[in-house]
Amino acid sequence: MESVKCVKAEDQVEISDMTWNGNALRLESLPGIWLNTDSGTRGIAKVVTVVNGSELTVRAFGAGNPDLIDWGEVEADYIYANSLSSREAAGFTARYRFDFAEVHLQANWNQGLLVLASFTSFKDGSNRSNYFSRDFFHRN
Amino acid sequence: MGTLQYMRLDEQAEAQGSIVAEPLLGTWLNTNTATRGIPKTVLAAKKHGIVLRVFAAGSQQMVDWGETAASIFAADALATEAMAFSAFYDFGFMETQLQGHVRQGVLIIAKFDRFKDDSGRSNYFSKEFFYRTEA
Repeated sequence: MESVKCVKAEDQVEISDMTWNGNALRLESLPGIWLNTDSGTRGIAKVVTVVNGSELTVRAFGAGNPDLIDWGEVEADYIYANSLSSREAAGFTARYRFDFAEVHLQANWNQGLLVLASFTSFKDGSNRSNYFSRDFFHRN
Repeated sequence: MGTLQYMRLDEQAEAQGSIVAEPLLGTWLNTNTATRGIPKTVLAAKKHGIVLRVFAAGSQQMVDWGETAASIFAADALATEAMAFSAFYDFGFMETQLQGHVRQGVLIIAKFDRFKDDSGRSNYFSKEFFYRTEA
């Protein structure tokens, strides 16, 4: 039986153990409008996820005054399951590139919540620190 | 001071200094001693920046992934203490994006593994928990 390459034990499977159907994941559970569980957040207030075929589009809205700030749509870089053998999508990564900053989003769904980690790196020469934040979103 | 561009309200202030990496540095051991993922990580300051070194679970002994550059992040745009990092490994047949953050003394590392070898394995997300040791 042929083994696959791996760099950690948890990725070790026999090829015959895999039900081959490519790397396609089921995306049905991903689309939605997601609201920050902290209604007073000054960070990301809302996220909209839309599935187009095998792709996931993400649209984030930052807290603003008086209105939310629409970050626009980006396509998720990659979509992830929550285990090696699962075919159910459970997370994604995406990246926003603004003139003054770059934001890398890493998300996963857990018990009905969208858990969104964001890594913001400033490129504008301001003294703002690059920063990490983690927010929780419920489905609207 | 000019007006700062921002995409969320909490980005309207500047820090008083650069980010200090010390809160992240050191050797971190997995709270699950039987993990089949990552038993140990080391974050260190080198001349060229912060580096992450991962030791993964192997069949006989740990697998040393070697060092990779880590970007460090504070808790907000004003803060100057590192509390999170992001790093990337590319092994050819797979790549992994690691994002870690410290919460109440525990380092939580989220792994986003992506396979490029047509093995049929799903790209997947997982999370592990680490405590700091003197070793």
